[in-house]
Amino acid sequence: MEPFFKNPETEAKYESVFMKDKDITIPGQYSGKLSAISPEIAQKLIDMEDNQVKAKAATSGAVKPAGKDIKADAPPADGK
Amino acid sequence: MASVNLYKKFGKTETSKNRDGGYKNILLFAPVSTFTSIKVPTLSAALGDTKKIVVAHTFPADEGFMSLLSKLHSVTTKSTTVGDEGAQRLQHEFEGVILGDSALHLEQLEAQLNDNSIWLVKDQDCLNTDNYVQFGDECLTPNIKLEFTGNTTKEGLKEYKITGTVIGKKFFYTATVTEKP
Repeated sequence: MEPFFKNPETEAKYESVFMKDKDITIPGQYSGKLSAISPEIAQKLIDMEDNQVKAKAATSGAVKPAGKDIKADAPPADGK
Repeated sequence: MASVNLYKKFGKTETSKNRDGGYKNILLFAPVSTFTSIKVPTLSAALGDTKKIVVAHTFPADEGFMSLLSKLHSVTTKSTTVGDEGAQRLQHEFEGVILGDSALHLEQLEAQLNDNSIWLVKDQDCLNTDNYVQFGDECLTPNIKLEFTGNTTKEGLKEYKITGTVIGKKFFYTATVTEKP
C-alpha cells in the first residue's frame, strides 16, 4: 500500500485516521495538503485534538502519547 | 489584595495586534450538522479566553469547511451595539461578494438563507496565529441575507452579496481548519 504521508519521518511515526487527503490550515503555521505535513505539524494536530492523525502504536520502545484511545472495535463477547 | 476585575491597560503591545485592515478574499462555512465535534472556548480567568477557540473542530472523512472565493477586498466584518441601554449586546456582521450567476450559485446560496452553518473569515495577515474569525457556534448560527445584482453592460459583473449577522458569537479560532475534499 502507498504511504499516506509524503514525508517518510511523518509516515514512520503517525498514521492517517481516514486515509483521505484534505487541505488543512493551521493559522500562522501550515497551509497545504494533510498528506504533506511534517512530524511537527502532525504532533500539533494531535495536540489540538484534531481527529485526522494519530501516533502509530509504539513498536521499538517509543513511548505512546497519553490520552483517550478507546475504540469499540473489540469482538463481541459471544464471539460471533 | 489581587484585582477583582479582568480589565487591563491597553498599550502599544495590545493595540498593535491584528491591526491591518481586511481579510482574505474567501468565506468559509460548514453546516453544523456536518461536524464531528464543534469546540468552544475553554473557561479561564485570563482576559480574552472566552473569545478564543484553540482546539480543532473535527469532521468525518468526507466533510469539512467549504470556501467561497469572493471578490478581492469584498470580505469585511463589523460589529454594532444593539439592545436597550443597560441590556446591550454586540451584533457581529460579516460580508463577502461572490461573482457570477448560475443555477449552481442560486441553489447553493439560496439554501444558505435558512441553514445553520458556522462561518469563518481569514485575516489578511497569514503569519498571524489568530487569523480566523469564527461567527456562530453549535447553538446559535449567523442569519444569512443574500442580495443579487445583475448590473448593466456598462457597470460591473454579476454578483451575490452574502451578509451574515449574529449576536455575541464571534470567536478567534486558532486551531486547524480542515476543508472538504
